[in-house]
Amino acid sequence: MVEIAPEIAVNLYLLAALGTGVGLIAGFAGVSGGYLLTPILIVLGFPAEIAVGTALALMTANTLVAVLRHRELGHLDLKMGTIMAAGTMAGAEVGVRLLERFRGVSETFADVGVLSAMMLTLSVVAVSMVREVWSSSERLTGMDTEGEAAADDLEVQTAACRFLQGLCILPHIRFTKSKLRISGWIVLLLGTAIGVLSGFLGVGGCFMRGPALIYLVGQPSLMAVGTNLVGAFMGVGFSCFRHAMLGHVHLGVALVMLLGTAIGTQIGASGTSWLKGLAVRWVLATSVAAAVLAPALKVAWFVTGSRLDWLDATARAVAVAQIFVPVAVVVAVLAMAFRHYRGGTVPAWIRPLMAGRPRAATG
Amino acid sequence: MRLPTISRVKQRPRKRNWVVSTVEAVVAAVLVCVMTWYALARTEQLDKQMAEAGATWTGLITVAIVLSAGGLLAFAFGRAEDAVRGRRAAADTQAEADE
Repeated sequence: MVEIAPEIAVNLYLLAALGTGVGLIAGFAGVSGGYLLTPILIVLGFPAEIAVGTALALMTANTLVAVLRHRELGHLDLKMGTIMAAGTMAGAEVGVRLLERFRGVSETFADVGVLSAMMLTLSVVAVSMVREVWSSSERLTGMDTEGEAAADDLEVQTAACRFLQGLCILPHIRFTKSKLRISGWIVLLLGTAIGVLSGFLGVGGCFMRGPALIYLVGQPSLMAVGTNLVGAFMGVGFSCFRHAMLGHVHLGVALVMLLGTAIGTQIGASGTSWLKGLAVRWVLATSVAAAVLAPALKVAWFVTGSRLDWLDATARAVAVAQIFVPVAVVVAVLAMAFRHYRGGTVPAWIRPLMAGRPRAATG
Repeated sequence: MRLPTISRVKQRPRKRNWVVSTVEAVVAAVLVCVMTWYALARTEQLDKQMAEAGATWTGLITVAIVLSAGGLLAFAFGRAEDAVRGRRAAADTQAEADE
């Protein structure tokens, strides 16, 4: 047990286990996991500012582990990640100042504003992702074995990404790793827009940056996982520094959880080589969709005048439960992929998501 | 014309000696465990030292510790993977020699 504050102690094994779960999702879907981690730490009894600071410290270390792992696997476009991260950091500053303006009006107004924006963003991302992965899955199921092999990575080519790639605003940069050419300004502006939202909502922004890279920039899904993490690493690293300055980081807790997240990240990142990019998009879509409920309940609690305590309690319970949905999905998918790779039988509906053989590290 | 890129993957040279890789992985993992133990056992002392150092140094030291731990763990996993591969390669070579 570790003492967080007077009369508040938390079990170290529980922290490590939670860390493993977050790491599994982070490594597999290329998200930092902050939107899952911070509510859980608050529910466990951490003061809000310590929960945010500690989660940021953990995410900084964990995204570094994940970035290095994805670099080895060849799922990383450092050029695009750096440009996007620069935009994100500038946008985050704007988002934080916007939040301060909201807080100037009233605390409740700011809370409702943040939660509503969070709910709206998550809903838009979740709906568009579920629609796309659903139609992609149907197309893949309709293909014969040869077609499946040809479309080993059924990548997304939305009208939006075709339009954005077609815009000729100099400098038009070729991203060799991602096999695409797009204006650097578009990547920077997308990063800035995501940064504004992430600064305002107080999250790393991976759940927005990942889909943006796939559906708006047109990056291959597996490459988007690593690239997304580069942006996250720089963003959360800076935020961690700011929170550490204010003494909001519990270093011991962050390091204990890191031991768990690092293991989870390794498993999750390695698991992506057994599956097609579509499987990663499915997990990300499920994870984002599951995260909509908690802010929705909290907004309902505010709207009803903060009187219905059961609504607040349910929101907290859902915040904890929402981590188990994506973890369960990732564990199930990886278990089936492992079974498939070993020559075992897996359900017919999941077979199209499996890579024919594990991808070797590309170089 | 091929444009220059900074995103090309540089493959880490694979170590052949799996014993050395194992030792490196274990040392890196033990270092992280020692850091974690120290941070938990000496929380108050660390907080006091950080407070004396000032806000900017507190931020820098915290980020440095966190990044060191993450880097060491990534290194440990990389070396562990090398060790497993090296061990398998050694076993295959031995099996071929026996035949």
